[in-house]
Amino acid sequence: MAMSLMRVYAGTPARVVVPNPRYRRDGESDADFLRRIASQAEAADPTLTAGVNVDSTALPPDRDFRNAWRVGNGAVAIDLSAAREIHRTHLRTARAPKLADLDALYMRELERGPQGRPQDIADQKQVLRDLPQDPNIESAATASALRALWPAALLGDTPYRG
Amino acid sequence: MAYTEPTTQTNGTLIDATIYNRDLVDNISYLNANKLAKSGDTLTDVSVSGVAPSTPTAGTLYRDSLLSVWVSVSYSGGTPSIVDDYNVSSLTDNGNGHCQVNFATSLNSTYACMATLDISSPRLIATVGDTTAKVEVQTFDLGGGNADINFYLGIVGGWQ
Repeated sequence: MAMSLMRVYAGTPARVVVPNPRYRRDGESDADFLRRIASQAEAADPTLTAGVNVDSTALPPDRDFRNAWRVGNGAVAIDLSAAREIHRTHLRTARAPKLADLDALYMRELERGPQGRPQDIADQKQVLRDLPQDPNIESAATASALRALWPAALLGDTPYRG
Repeated sequence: MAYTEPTTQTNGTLIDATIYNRDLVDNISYLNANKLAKSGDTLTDVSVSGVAPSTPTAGTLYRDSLLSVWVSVSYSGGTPSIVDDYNVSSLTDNGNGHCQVNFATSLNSTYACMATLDISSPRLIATVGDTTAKVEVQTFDLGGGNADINFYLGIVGGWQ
């Protein structure tokens, strides 16, 4: 049976000690095994303090917003404010090469003189610039809702796996 | 010429260039008891304590030349998992692309880490914060941000 008990520690983000099931002793309970292994991890890193045991099924099932995990009331939850910033960072990262491409197109349109349409390119750039300010990001109430806001038509494949 | 075994013998002394039958029997018994290996034998739980000289002998096994830790780490669900390992008791997941490998048996402080990524496109990996009890592995995308990427870690020269 796979080990499902882990120990989480408060932090930004939350930290999780994942025991290696191969090191469980014969007859050792989940709690005793975790206590022994976590003690070793805490000795290796004294910044790990005041850990809380949680079942792995109580953790978020994916790592899309891993750096937004926070410990509160003995459990791990996704801090939506931090998750929104992660989403905005993904948007900025994905739009950067597309803005660079549009910059080149903009210059080309300028060089075409009166026949050029630089304003069309400028409008496309503005759409990309506005993405992080999408009000739907601020109103998204769950991680799934944030994931669903990924503008694949503008930025291509989603960075999310969950 | 016949020789007569003296009543008192000194260990390690060859008397009259003769090896007595009783010594041969004793030595054979000793060899059997200690199971000296011959070609084709399988050795288990062998302890190697020899320290390599400044100029190691080719093909010789020294304590310094043994792997002291290796691990294959995979990111597939909410937390990283150990695919297989030697001497790793746990992982501390510190966030995206930041995994601490905790040793089951502590090492000395002068080991060498080798780490590589399980990915076909260019990415980066670094080992930091190494102590006698753990090492931190950070994996990055090309933009320099931490990213979850399956990795392999090996450590040599760590046994005290």
